[in-house]
Amino acid sequence: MFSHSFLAGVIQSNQDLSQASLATRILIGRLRIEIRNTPTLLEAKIEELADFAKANAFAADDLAKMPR
Amino acid sequence: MKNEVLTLAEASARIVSGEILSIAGHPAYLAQLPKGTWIGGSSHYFVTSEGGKKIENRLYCTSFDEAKAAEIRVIAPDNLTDIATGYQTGGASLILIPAFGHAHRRFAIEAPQNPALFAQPLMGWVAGTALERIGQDHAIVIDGSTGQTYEDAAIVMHLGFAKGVTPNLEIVNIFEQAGDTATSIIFETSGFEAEDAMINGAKQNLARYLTAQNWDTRLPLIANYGGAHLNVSIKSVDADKGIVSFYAPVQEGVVYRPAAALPDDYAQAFAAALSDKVTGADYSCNCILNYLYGEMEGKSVSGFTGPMTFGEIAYMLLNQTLVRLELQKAA
Repeated sequence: MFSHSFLAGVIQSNQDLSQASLATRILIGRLRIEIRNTPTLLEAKIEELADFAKANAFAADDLAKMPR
Repeated sequence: MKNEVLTLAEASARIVSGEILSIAGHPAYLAQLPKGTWIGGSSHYFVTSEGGKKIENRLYCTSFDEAKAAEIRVIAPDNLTDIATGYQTGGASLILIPAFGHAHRRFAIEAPQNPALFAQPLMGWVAGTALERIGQDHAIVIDGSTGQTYEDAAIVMHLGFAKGVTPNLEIVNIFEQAGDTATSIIFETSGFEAEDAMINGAKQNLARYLTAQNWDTRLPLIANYGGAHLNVSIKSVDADKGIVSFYAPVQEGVVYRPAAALPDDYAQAFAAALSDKVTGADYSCNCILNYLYGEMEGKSVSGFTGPMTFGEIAYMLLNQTLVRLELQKAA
């Protein structure tokens, strides 16, 4: 649904998420914090975000609206 | 959805008529309500259309006439990860938790790590006591379908809605995070208490640091979660023991910065923040600390009525924040 590099970019950047739903903002915010503290978790967190978007249409919509 | 302050008889009549309700009020009144499709929690302070006030002889009732289904569950502290198993497609879930028990602590620490909770709006609040009775009375929540009262469990009501109704959960935080050059605080472990922390990059005892800085403990610490500014409020600072207590847990590894300043007028600040958000009825709560620090007694807030609570829940536990669940209907 979303490319690995796109999801990695969302997690590793400080890209503004203000247009996303509160759930997506908090979830990605947490993933960003975890990656900042433990960079080796990146692959696991990309998978977590991909799974979240796959399971929740609103999250997929939020991600689809983000610039690539 | 409708918010009303009702007498015991009026609230009872609503329950008997089959309405789906969330009810906040004095525990002695909640205990007298008939069984039905409702959940309740102890709360003593409210902002109504008449302004902020302590209300102990009436009940703050929110009815969900848009709901086509409601399932009430009592969830023990050990089973809080199961909350999302009751989510109904396209629905929302309400959650009430009594203050200061295991359920409160565990939800606060575990919820942010549980992505399943974020699959649909999870909104609620922490039940409290009268302020002068903290430490003497127990906060309670009630499963209205059985009339059973709980001092240490979460009551959850999973709502399913009619087609065309979309629940939307948002927060209103009137505090601004101080800039990037302001004090940064990073904790090594998550919890409601902290001793040492990395303060501006150096490990120090937080309680002694705050005391030495003559820190205004009414200012929340704010974390930035992808643009969502989430507050943690300071409960107490004990420099002798070197311990700071919080009303919500600080999270390991998160950068916290203090709020820039207290609002001059809390009621006005909330009204201004809500002015472009309120498009219909909503289910809302706000923090008892805002009520106290903002001296909101007697003051009304355009766009907000609801209980002033011991913690606000928008997927996770928050402090000093207004949380609102709005049900948007398709045109």
